[in-house]
Amino acid sequence: MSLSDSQSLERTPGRAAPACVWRARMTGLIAWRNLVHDRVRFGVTIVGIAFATLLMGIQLGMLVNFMQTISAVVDRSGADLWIAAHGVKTVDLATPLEERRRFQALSTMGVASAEPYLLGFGYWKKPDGVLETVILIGVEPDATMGRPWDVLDGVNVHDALLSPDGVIVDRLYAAKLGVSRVGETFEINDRRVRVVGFTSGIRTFTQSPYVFMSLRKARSLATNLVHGGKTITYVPIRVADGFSREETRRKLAARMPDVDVLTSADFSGQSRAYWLFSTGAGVSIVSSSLLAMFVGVVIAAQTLYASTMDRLPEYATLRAMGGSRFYLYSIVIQQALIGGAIGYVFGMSAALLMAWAGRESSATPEIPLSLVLGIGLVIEVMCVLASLISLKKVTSINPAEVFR
Amino acid sequence: MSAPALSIRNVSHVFGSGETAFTALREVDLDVRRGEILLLMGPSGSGKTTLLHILGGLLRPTSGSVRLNGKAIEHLGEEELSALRLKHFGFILQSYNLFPVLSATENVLVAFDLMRANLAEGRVRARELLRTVGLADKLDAFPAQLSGGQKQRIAIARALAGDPQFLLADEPTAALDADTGRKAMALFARLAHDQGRAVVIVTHDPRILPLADRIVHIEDGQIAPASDNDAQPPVFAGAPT
Ligand SMILES: Nc1ncnc2c1ncn2[C@@H]1O[C@H](COP(=O)(O)OP(=O)(O)OP(=O)(O)O)[C@@H](O)[C@H]1O
Ligand SMILES: [Mg+2]
Repeated sequence: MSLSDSQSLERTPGRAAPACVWRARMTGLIAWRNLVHDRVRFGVTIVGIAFATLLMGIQLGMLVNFMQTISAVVDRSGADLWIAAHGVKTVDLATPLEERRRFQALSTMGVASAEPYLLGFGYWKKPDGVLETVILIGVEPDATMGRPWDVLDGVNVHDALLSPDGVIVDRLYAAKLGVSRVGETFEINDRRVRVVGFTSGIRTFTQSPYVFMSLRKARSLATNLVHGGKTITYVPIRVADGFSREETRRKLAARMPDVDVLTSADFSGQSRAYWLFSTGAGVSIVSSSLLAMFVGVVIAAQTLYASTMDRLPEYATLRAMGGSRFYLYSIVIQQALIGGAIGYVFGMSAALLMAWAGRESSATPEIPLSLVLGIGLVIEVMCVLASLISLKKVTSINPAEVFR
Repeated sequence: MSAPALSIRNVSHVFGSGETAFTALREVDLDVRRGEILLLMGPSGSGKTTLLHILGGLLRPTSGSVRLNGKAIEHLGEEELSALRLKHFGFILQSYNLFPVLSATENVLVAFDLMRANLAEGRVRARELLRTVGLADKLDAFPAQLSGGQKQRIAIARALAGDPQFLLADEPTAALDADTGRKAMALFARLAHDQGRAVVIVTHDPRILPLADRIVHIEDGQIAPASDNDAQPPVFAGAPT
């Protein structure tokens, strides 16, 4: 007689069922009911995970916003390479560069165009006499790189920069600068400027608004930078078709060893790294996100463990009935995944809602789809990790002990 | 009578070790045959539950052999024993441990799920089993809404779900009144006598005695010397002889 002897077992409908039947049917039901059975514990789990999600969404959303904001003028410039004064740290903190660098660049193989770019600080006087620090950006009216982007109401940038005293500011900072409409005049460093257009969504990390204008106007305002009227701060460069950026960058650097020649990607990364890591802003954002995640995991682990402990006799019974360890695991893990998913949906909805509500403000979390999905993945992975301690408990169940 | 389907030889079981070691079973030999109801009786703490657990592969004996249909199972690992229990055994344990979050039907349905059964068919069968144990009006009730005896009957239905060759029950009628107890016993008798299953029942309940084919007394971890109980002829009305 063999172990597989199965006389008269054929009458059981189950044993003849096809193997393709979905395995997790009852485990999913048990997981769900276990989860919601204790309302208070369920609430704590969901709130914990939701808060972790919300905090991560907001924090990392701010990080994304900062990263995009810090390097926006580089990223949106259309330039392949940048020449900057030696030791430049971040794009907003520009130091003077001689304009002859542009001509040197133009005479280098592989350079299609090299344009003058001036970035400096100025004081914007509002009608009430209050001064605001602004960042002046000056480019030639017919520049092909470094121009303002996302300009509103079909304003022609070329014409705007050519118009006398013309400047372009962003809508987000209009109130801060006391601007209500095109045509109004103000003073920067005691010289007249006239708002001739608005951009939409060009934020600054320092909260000192960018003011775009012609190179000539910028030179006349940025008194601190001027020596001899030929000063600029950067040379954005476009590499000719068929030439490698890195190759051209090396050629330029070899020719001008006393300045920095950077690819746009490197300049952008260096600018971000400066604000985020040398100031500790990034470290604090990332660490508070990790902390939020950690707190969420601890809460989830805690409530899941308590609920697993409550069910040990039932789990032992399943084990006695011949349930595999995997069967028990799948209950616990599904419970963690379902709890995680519900908490995540609430938390992420709140984060997206907050980001949406703040879309018109100058500093609002930016939550791209990749972040939405990434946080979801992290939350679910964390919930599974949170269930490990419970799984360990389930593994050690000995039904004979429980039923003594 | 057929060859023993389940037999243990020279089985001893020691709980703990060193100074706290306690020998719960001492060199026990026992055969369980198909088609019979075997009662295990004895004072509290004598080792009945321990013996039942060893018979059902819930506990590995410290020494001795356990043979299921002629194959030694005492050395199998946890997962193999678990698979074996799923295939061959039904348990009604001292505590019923129903899932409080599942209805009566769902608690029985879990047994079908463990066997990877078709759940639609399983549900029909679960309800049938619950009707058999007299719970037709409680199919969708949750354990918290049920009496001890009703819960015990769900546990019985659940144990029968797998159509087990061996039904091992620890005090299965303790919480049942005279009438439902009798019905449960009739059910066990049907399983043993009509369907050829082996039914082992640990009990103190004298009402069960008349149904027994064989009674084994345990005292102090040992099988008491064959008494007249052992030779007691089946009393079950209509039982095949
Ligand atoms: N895990 C354990 N550790 C130590 N001793 C144990 C353990 N399990 C059982 N025992 C002891 O083994 C002996 C037999 O226990 P068992 O549960 O088999 O008794 P029983 O005959 O079923 O008693 P009852 O009728 O009260 O259920 C008891 O003295 C008990 O104290
Ligand atoms: Mg006992």
